[in-house]
Amino acid sequence: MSARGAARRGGGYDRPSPRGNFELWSWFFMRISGVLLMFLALYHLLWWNLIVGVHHLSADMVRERWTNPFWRLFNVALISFAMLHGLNGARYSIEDYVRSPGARTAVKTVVYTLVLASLAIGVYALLTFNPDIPRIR
Amino acid sequence: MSMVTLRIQRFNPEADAAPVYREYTVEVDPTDRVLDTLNAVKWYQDGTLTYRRSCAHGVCGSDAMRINGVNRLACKVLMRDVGAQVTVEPLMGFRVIKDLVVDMEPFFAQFRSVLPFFINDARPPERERLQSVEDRERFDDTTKCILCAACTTSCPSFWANEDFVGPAAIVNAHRFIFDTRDAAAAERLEILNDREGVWRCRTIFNCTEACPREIKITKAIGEVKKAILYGTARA
Repeated sequence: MSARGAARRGGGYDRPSPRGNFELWSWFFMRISGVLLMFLALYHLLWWNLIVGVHHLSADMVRERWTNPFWRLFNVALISFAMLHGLNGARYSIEDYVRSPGARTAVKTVVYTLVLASLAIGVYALLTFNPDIPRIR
Repeated sequence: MSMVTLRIQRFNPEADAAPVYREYTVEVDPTDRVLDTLNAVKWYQDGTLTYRRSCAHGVCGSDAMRINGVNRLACKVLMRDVGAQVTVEPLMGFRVIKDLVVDMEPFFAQFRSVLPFFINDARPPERERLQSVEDRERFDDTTKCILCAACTTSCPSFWANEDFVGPAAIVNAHRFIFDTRDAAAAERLEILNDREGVWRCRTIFNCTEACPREIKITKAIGEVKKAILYGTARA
């Protein structure tokens, strides 16, 4: 806050020094990822569950799709936006309701580790999947 | 005339360890307001009942309280709309001083923190600072706030975290941020660009539903968020 603002303020909550625009960009990310996820997740859901149908889903179809770089990118985007959007939502809830600083750090560490590790495994699998492995009968 | 039962949360810090509920039976007209019913209790049954009221016409914002679990002004709610069993409690999230009277100082401190007054250090013109009808319209809605605290005390983010500046303070910042005659919009946006500023708002709309002046509070908060994103209120 500027010196003028501080001098004029009437004694409200004494805010910590500015921490940059992290909260602004995390809010903006939630809006953008939310809109993108509507299309990404809806398409994913409609395609695999209604158009293809779970009963016709096979490893061959997944393999065939994977060979197209566009669908690899699509799936990396889907898992990344979904996990990060969810993680940020969880962060909001933790910051709202876990009030003790020590407990907050502990809960955040566990949640961040779990979500980011899952995301890393997912992206790793998507990028390194070997389509030539023998089919499991 | 009909009989209603008023269940009021009572707390006397000099006698009670914790708040208790007491019931009072009052004869009312359907067009009586909840405030009239509270007055009937205080004047004719129990003079120790304590609550704030001043203008009694929905303008001063003194008698905001929880009526059947919802933040309302007691002077704007008719008995015919609340049924024969009415529960009256103080606003949530503030320290109860006595009965329905809460300590509003934290609320006013948050209000003061957003510079809720006109700031323009430029030399005043010879006559008034002119403003177009459209420019005035831009912040018309947020001029209606009466600082009753119904919005802030209906907000789960505020219940969870009393450091949150709260919807009422943001509404009053909005009133000046979008005023073309004011020169301190950037300063206010900087104050509100904080984890405890607008970013603690989760867009739950409780504030908008609670406002007795029907201010579109969530919309105003959204406009402040966008002004922070764009870096200006003049976009």
